[in-house]
Amino acid sequence: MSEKSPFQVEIAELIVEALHLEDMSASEIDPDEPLFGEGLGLDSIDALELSLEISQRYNYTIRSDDPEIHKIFGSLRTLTEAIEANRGG
Amino acid sequence: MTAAPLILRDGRPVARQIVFSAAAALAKRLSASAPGPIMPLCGRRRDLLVSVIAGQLAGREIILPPDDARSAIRAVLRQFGSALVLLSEDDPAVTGVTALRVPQTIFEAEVPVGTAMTWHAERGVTLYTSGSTGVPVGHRHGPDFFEAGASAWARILEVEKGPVGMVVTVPGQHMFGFESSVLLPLGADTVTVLDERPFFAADIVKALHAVPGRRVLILTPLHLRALVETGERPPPIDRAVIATAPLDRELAARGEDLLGGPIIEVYGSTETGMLATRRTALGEDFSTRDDVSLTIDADGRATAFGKFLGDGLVLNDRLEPAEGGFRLIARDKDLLKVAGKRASLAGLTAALNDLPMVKDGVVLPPAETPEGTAARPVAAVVAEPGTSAEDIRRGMRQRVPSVFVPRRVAFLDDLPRTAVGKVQVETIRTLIAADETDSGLAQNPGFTIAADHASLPGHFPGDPIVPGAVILDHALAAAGIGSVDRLISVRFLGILKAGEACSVTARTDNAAGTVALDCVAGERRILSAKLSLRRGDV
Repeated sequence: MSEKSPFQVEIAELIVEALHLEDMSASEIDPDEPLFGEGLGLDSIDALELSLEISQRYNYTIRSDDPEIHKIFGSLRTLTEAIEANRGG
Repeated sequence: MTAAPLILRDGRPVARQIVFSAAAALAKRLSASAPGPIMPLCGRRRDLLVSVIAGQLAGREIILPPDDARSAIRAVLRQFGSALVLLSEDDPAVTGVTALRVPQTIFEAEVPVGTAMTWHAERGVTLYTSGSTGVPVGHRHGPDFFEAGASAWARILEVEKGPVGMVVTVPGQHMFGFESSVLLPLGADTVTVLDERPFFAADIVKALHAVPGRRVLILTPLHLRALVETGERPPPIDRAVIATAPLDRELAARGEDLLGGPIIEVYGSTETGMLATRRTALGEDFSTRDDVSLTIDADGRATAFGKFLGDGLVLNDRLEPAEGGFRLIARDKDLLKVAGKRASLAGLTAALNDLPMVKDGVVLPPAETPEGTAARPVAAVVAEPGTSAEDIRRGMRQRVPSVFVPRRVAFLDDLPRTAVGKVQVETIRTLIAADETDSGLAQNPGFTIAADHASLPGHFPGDPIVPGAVILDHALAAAGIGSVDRLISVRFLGILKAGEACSVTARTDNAAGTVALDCVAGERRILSAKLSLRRGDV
């Protein structure tokens, strides 16, 4: 597993906490592992929960008509990059 | 009055004539294919409507699986030998089945004069539930059932009051979505449905802006919570209809404030269709649909009667009579609902025991969680040596929809059973808590706030509840945490009363230097917190 940046650690913690991933800790999430389907095994309800947390904490609204949507939720790395690029004040 | 378009797709109306004429063209293609039922899995509302009408025109039976998981689709197909799966052009492929994509060209052909625009489910529509043995169970409904259902829905929406623009966040393949987005617009020509199914809160708001006429939103408590909490500003709606999970009064009231219209909660099932409604923000009693009558016995067992219900249908929930209807006393214990999907706990347990590495196992419902959150089930298993929780989850993912894959897997030496072989759920929950101790979660005696605690008189006289700050303070003390650097988050999820024992689990992430605290009283989650520790404490 590659080393996580501080912001990746923060988002990994958000994922574990918001989704009650009771068997996991933030440090176990690989930045490049797929978040959905195989890999971490998240599903569409998790996507809804995560979008809610992200909009509340980072003022970034995720929409499914964003052409990049599948990439954004691809991995911890891509999700973190999308939040960093779009977060509001 | 001229009929409203049936569909709004990419900002453009699709007239009823076009949809019915396209259905006639699709029916021709169906007639040229091998005989047998059709299974319309189309994600686009337009294509689902066209498929349902075409199935009728081609004299095909229509079958709808309990969910879109590949395993469920295959299980239903096995019961029929073969069926033709229908998909929208942009749906993901379904492997191992015969599939036809609804082609765009059929909507572009000229509409023949005199195209009939009525739909009767003469050959019937069979909707599946997941079944209590792990095998999907079909519920076949005919024309009388659907005609009565369409009228009942038309009354909820008061369709005679003028054009309705409907935004639907649920799939059209389950009873709630089928009644609202297929039956209703086919039965009432004032209703226009949005082709896309919005998902995120921002999508729903955009969709509401797009539809013409009186805005009607069909959704689930999960979507409502997302709307209320993201701070989106939707345009005012005429009304919303909500179902699939119990809605609490506070969320209903906040939702009505945000949406500017009443939120009507529907009570029903795949077996019966919609049976009753209530305006949750105003009261907890359901009003029974006017063409349905219920008999409720002393134990709360209810039977629904109506012309379209045959000899009456026994409900799985327990009810209590109330003025004009009933009050829900207890939900069916075998039924697990997560975000609009429902599964039988017995069925999930059967799937768990089907895994080669599981010697014995049981799937339990999650402990109570706050409204509008999707809690996942828990699995307790006796497994072959060397089996990991991930092995179990991977196996389950292939057998059941991902929302029902247990998030927490506890490994036990054996499952406690009664003399008649029934699994003792409460004992298992205690064992799971003990198992958490073994797996490194710090367990402690927890705490109880005495009735004479100094904080109580102010909170509230006569019915004291423990203030959140006191709970947090005691939870930290019980977990032996002395030096908190920063509270990352605290959520108070339930009320703790004086004298009630509260258990505390603390889970340390050494790499991150954080601790996650969870407090539970009985079955209720009380508090969930995350904090970082001062260096040296980790």
